[in-house]
Amino acid sequence: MIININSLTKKYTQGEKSLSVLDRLNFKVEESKSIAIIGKSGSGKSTFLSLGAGLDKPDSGEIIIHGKDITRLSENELTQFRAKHIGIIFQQFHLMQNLTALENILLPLEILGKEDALIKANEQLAKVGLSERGHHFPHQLSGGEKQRVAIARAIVTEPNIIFADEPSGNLDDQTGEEVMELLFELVKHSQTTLVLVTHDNELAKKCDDIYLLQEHKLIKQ
Amino acid sequence: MKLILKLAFRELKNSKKFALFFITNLSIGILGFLILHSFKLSVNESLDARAKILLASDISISSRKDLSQNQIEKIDKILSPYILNRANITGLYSMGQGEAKNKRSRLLLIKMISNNYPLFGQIKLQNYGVSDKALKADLKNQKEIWISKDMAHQLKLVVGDYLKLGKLRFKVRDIIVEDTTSSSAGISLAPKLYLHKRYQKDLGLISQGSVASYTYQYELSKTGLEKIKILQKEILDELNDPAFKVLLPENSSEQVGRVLNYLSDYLGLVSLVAIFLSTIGAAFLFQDFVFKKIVDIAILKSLGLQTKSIFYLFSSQLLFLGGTSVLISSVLGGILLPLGSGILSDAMGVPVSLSLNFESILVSFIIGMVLTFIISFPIIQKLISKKTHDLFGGEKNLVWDNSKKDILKFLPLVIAMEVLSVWQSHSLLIGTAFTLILIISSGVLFLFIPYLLTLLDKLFISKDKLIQNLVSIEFGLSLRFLTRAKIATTLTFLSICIGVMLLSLISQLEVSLNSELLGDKVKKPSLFMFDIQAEQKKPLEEFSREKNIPLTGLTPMVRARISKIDGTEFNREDGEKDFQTREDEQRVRFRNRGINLTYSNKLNHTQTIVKGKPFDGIYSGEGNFEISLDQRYAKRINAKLGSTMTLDVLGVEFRGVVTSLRKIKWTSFLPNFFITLQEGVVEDAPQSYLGVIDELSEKRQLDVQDQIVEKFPNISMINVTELLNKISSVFSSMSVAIKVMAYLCILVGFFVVYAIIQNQLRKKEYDILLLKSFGMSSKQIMKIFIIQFLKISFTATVFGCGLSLLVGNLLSQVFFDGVWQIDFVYFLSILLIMCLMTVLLVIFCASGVYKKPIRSLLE
Repeated sequence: MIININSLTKKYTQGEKSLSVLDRLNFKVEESKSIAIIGKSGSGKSTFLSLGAGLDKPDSGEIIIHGKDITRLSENELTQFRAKHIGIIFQQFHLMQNLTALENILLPLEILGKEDALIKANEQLAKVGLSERGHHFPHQLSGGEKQRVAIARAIVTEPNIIFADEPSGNLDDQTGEEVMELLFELVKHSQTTLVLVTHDNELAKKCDDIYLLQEHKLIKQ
Repeated sequence: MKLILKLAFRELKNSKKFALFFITNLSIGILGFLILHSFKLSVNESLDARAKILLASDISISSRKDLSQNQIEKIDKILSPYILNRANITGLYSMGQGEAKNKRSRLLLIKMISNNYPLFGQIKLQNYGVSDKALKADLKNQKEIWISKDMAHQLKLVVGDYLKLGKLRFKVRDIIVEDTTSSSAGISLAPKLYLHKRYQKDLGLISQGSVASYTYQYELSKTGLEKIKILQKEILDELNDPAFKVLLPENSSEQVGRVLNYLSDYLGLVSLVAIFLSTIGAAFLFQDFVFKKIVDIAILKSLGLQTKSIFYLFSSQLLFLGGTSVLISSVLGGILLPLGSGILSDAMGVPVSLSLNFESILVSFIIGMVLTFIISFPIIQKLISKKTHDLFGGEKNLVWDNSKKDILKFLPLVIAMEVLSVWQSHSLLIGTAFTLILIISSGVLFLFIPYLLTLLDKLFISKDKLIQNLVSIEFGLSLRFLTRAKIATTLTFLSICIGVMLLSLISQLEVSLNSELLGDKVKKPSLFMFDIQAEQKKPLEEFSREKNIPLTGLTPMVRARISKIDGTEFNREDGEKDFQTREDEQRVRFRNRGINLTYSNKLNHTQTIVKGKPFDGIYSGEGNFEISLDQRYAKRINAKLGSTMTLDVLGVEFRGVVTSLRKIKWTSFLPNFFITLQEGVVEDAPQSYLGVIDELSEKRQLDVQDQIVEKFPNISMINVTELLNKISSVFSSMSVAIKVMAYLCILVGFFVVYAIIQNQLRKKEYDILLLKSFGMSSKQIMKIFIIQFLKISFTATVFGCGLSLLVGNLLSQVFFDGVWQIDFVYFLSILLIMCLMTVLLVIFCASGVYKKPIRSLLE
């Protein structure tokens, strides 16, 4: 199993009240599978994704990714782990505004200190069909192009898992569909595991498995 | 409008944390300014009071001829609404004979005073303490005198002895131990005594042709300096005679007056700098505030709120936040300032009373509300006129296109700065120069930096170059953040650079003024000697050598008048009564007066030739002889290098040409003259010599006086230690004041750098989260921002120091008589401090930004 989550619990406190978001949640994913997590707004999808991607810490439970319980890692170890094994795609694209498209893709490779970074980044840029746009800054790109760059950036380090948070949520239907097709194709090609958080049932159906996040737990559909 | 205000305050109520942060920061900045401004006012007040004591009055009219009754009435008419008290004093040099055991005779300075003298300051006596009404009544009724320590010593007089002056005999009532008015007349030529004015006539010393000085002094009700200057001008116009000097405390003595004026200009400049720095800091905070509201603006627009209404909404919020900050800092200032008074008073040796006053609060309101609003106006205006769709993308997606027309929107800021500068510096010239310097340097940097950044980007981080190849990934990323965010980098650079330039300017002037005030660390003279006859020069030198007396600076002195300069009669210019500058005023004062000059082919160590060449040997008698002038004096009498001057020595005219201008360190207190002639011109004219005896212990001073008086009875000797100590103490106080002002200014500068870094890091919050999500460690990220800000602050500081050198030199030429010294150690220190401060502030400010969880990227 590439992901093995056991008894995961996360609560938020609002004033004196404690709000349970995830409660003793269990979840397992095999390597190279694509998984869709669906659920209503406020059901805890984003919380689940941030815990799985190591962006946040749970209150209890374990998250074993690639054989390592990331809840036991220190902040520095977790950072290094994320750089090597996890790629994230955000709904808001989140590109570095002061870096060009190519530099945005280069950045995670450089953080890892890869020697052939430039070649790989250029290859990835070509794979998302933006060879001609490499030297453009984010504000010079369309929404679809920005998300392509974000996908390329997430995939370029060949992570074990990609967590994607509503990647087409900020795009029109047609562009969203094109971008998602590209994502599925690249994930399939690179044998990467994909955990996709979406509220779009049609999109979810394109994944190998669908889980519904309901009443603080994941239920396989 | 009601709805707008309701919306504005509801929003502020809901963002308590931000409002608190904003108000705290701005309050600190304004408090720094308040302390500085209050200190400036207090120092000004305290030094004004000292100057009044030196002049012993608010306004004084003096001349070598007495005022007629008609003239006195006319002056009274001009001053009548303001006169609180008046005093008059007549001074003359005459021989006096002690009736002690050895009946010695000496040249004495006799000061005949009226009942109220001195109006300010005091005369302290050895046995009776400060002279009071009863003591003055005894002077009048009992025919008593107060004599100086020098006189007592040289004539061997003690209390109760008699002294014969003219036709009368006076009883020594007491010995003067302290006379606060003594420095107003500079160094007198003989030991002094005080007697009452009623004996002036009976003494029989003043007859037709006698040389005496008559001074009429007035204490006025509290009137502004400007008003007193108007009164001074009216009196000058009324008297219409160049023989009369009408003095204000600021012209009380050549040395003190000059440095007081320097200090006043300096304080004005520091205050302006603080205002500007506070405004930059406040503007950054306001900018932060406005940018946080981008999405809110979009929402309000989409809900149908008019652009005008949104403008009012944000303006009212800004004004409320600014106003609250000013109120808080004023309250804090009201509590803290009096506490600081004691500490500063002890440090400076003059009473410093720090308290809030209307002017300080008014200027704070102008900075906190008006200036910051004006500076934020173009940004607010531009933001709210953006398309709603673009605004919904938030700050990070907003494309900030700038057009040349946008520059015009800063015009109100320029006008406001000019008005404030002129108001604070009390000078159109200084205020405008300050504003112009800021505009020109900002403009040049604003045009130049974006191009430089583009060039840097192309040269060093051109397309497809790996970031990690640029030394390190942190270095490369920080460089890209700088070169790609041109506007932010330029603004940060500009703010730090201008801030450093101003701070550096302040401290450079501090170094220069301090060197002027405190002088070289050479020994100051103890005794001044006058009336040394030419034939006594050699014997005196031999005698001094023999007795091991440190006699120096024997300088010949010849009395002369200037008849013509460049062929034009040297008289007071008609109609030249409306002084535009202090220099004009001094120039007029110096006209048509007899002047002492000297001749020498050598310079002493307090003189430096700043223009022209040294004298070409001894005058051969053919053509024009050579003249060297003090550079400031040359300006006052309108003489330049190459000017011809005709001098009148006892009716004989000599013509020479100005071949050099000298800078004289007057604070050395060595005999120096405005005019020095080439040797071989006036050696045959009647002359006497001046000399000084270097620093001696009090006991040795008395011994030396005894020895010289015994051997050369005609030589007058004055102990100048007390006078020099008094002047030095004023200078030292000023020096501390200048230092404190510079430190306070740096405190305000610290606030600016803090506001800038806080602002810039908050803008990078999103980048920090992204880098973290990519797997960059906190240490690496911190390193990126430290390097990024270090790059800016290092280059901006170097640029700022460079600019301050240029501007400082210019300022010193225009306002400080060329008083300017470069202190490279200071530059290095400021560079180090700035870099260290940047690192610490980045670490401090970043800790707040780091707290934000990465998961907020998903929100």
